[in-house]
Amino acid sequence: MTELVKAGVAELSIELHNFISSLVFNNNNKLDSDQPFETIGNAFRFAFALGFQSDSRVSLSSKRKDIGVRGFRPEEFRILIEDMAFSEGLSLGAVISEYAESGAIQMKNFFDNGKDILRLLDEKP
Amino acid sequence: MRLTHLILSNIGPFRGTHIIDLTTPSASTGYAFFAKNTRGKTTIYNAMRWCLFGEARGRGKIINGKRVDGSSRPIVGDGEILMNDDAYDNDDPQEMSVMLIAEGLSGKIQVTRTAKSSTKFARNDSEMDIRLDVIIGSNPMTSGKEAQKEIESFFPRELERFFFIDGESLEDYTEMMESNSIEGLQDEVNAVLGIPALVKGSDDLTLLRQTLKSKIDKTSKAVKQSTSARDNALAQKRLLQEKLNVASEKQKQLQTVAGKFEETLKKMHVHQELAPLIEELKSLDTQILLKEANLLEAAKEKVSESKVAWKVLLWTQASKFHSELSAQKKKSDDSERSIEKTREDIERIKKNIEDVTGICEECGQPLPNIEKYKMKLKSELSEREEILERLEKSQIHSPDDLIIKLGELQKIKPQADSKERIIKSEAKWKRLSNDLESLREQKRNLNAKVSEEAISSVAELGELKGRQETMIATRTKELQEARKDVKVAELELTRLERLSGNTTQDKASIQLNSTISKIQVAIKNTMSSYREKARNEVEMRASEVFVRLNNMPEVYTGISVDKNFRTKIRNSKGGFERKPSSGLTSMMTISVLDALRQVSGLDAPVFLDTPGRSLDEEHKKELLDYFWQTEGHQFLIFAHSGEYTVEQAVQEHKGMLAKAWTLTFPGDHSTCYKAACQSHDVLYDAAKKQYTCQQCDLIWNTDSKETIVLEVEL
Repeated sequence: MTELVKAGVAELSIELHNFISSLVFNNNNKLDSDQPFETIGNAFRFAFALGFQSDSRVSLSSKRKDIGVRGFRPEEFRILIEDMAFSEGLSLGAVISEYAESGAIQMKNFFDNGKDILRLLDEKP
Repeated sequence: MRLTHLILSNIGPFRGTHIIDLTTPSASTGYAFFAKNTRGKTTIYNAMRWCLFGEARGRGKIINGKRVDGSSRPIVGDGEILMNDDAYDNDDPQEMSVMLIAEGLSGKIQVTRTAKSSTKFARNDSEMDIRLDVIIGSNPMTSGKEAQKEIESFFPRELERFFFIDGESLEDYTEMMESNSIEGLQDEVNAVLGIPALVKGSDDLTLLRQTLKSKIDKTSKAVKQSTSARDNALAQKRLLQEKLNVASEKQKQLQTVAGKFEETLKKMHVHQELAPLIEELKSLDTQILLKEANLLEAAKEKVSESKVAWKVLLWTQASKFHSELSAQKKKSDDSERSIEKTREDIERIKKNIEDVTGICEECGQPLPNIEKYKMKLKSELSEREEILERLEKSQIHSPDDLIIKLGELQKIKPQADSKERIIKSEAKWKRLSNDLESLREQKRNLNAKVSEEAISSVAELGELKGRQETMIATRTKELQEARKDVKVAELELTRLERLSGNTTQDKASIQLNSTISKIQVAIKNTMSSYREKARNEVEMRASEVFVRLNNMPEVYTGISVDKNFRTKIRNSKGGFERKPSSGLTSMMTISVLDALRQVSGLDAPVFLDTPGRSLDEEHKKELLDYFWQTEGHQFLIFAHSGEYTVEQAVQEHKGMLAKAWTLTFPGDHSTCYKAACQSHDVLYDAAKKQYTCQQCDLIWNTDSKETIVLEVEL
């Protein structure tokens, strides 16, 4: 079964991609801004986890941007996604991206409401 | 100089006082003392030397061709002493004296030397007080060192040896004169010429020159130092002026900066009310900086902790899946164990079926119903095989797959406290962020109260004030350094000016030094010239005397004195006598000594002790004939009775002999020796060993060692 599911590519709509990019910590810039993630990979993982937690998937818009294999590899979550991707005939990346898209939307809404992203660990979006 | 009286007191064998009167109405110059040994001939000879020079030396020796004087004879003590033995042993105080009275060009000369014990029974010379008194002409009496100087003025000590001649030492003189030693008679000639005095004078001049030279050198050094110091002082003055200019310049610079500093302070006073606000702003800036640093650290911490934030979220779902897989794993494990047991049962049943024989293993009897038993086992086997099939069909996931999947899920499982740590770090960051915002808000509020221009102005003035304070400190230090330099330069100038002083070259000393140098050269040249003249004169005079003294003047024509003052007898063939007789040699020696005496020019009596020793009869007569010649110097001989008999001498030299004496002990007389008596009518007491004159009652002891001086009737 494993060989039948492709890894695919992790992506986000370009708007959300830009958003999670802004959450990546920049050493000397805007220390009082909420930039909790070390890398875009971690920000993407957080978005995916949020989407997966709420079991919510959103299809990506046509304008999208990949995370990059150096930042994130879909195989990391094969154990969670493989059956689903197989049953839907999608790649791991496609399924993960839809969960992440949903999570990123929740994050943006939360953030836009003036809340810090990591509070999502405690609060529902 | 003519000796008139000799007064001896307690010296040698002369006990008590003995006055020897040498005055005579005749013009004769010969005087003679005749005596056997130990009667006092040499004592008289030594008494005069002691009186004149304070010492009477024993006979000298010739060592390496050079005459070395004998040791000085002590006045008192052990051995041969000058003082009369009886006086030494019995008198208190012990006293000895000799007085010489003479007539010289300056009038009457009286020399008295006395030795008197300073302690009871002195046993060495350190316990004797020596006194010397001299009276010359009408001059006042002199004593001590002054008196000795007076003696030296008319009788130099160096010439003593030509006037006090010891016949027993003639051989020594001869040896010295013939010696191959380069020095020969050099000392004697030097003495005759007064060269020791010249040498001493030259030495004194050398000493004087050394003193002068030292003074000149010192002065020259001082002048040189002074000149150098003057030059240095001039340079130092220029340096001091430069230092003063620098100090002045620094003073001006300091005043300028101080003036500007005052202006700055005035300007700052205008903005004085803003100062607290500005200070607060500064404080806020500091706090903001600090807070930003803290916030940076908190942000980093938050980023670090949030690396696993996604795991926290994801695990809320994944944990369910994990639980399912864990349950499956447990079920699978149970199923696995059941399958295994069932298989073991099947195998066991199969084996039982195969092993059934129908015979009891214990009793060996055939078993009943064996077929029934076999059917039962087969039924059990069939049942187990069905169970096994069912179990195997029910196992969807293999245990290995489940282990792998659980391992994968474990990777996304967060630590138990991950969430708590993330929340905590986020809260910390948030709090710091709020604090920072609060500070910034405060700053914005303050900035609204104070214009940027004012702040800038005050800040600029503050900076300016700081710079000016630094500059004032620098300029003050520079001024202090410059003043210190000035002080040092002034001190150095004072020192150099003091050194430069008024030292001038000591021209008088230089001139004196030059003059003394010339005098020394002249002395040296004079000595050299005198020596040569002296050599010629000694050779000439010695030859004259020798021709008169020797009994073959046609053969032995004279004496040669070479440049080293060694002497040889010249013969008529123009050569030198190679092996002269001892008498001839003695004549040569006496001739040379007399020549030296003549050359010395000193007008003094000649004393010749044991004159006839080594001479044959003819030469002895010639000797006295020569020395006792009229119009010559007084010539005193101290003759042993074996050399000259009184009668012979008187007979052969009648007219030449002025006075003569015999020196005897009482025991030498068997008739009365009193001049006015001379009676033969004497009694001898053998027990007392004494004679008594029956005419004049003179008593004399034959054991007595006290010399009797009797003048010979000529």
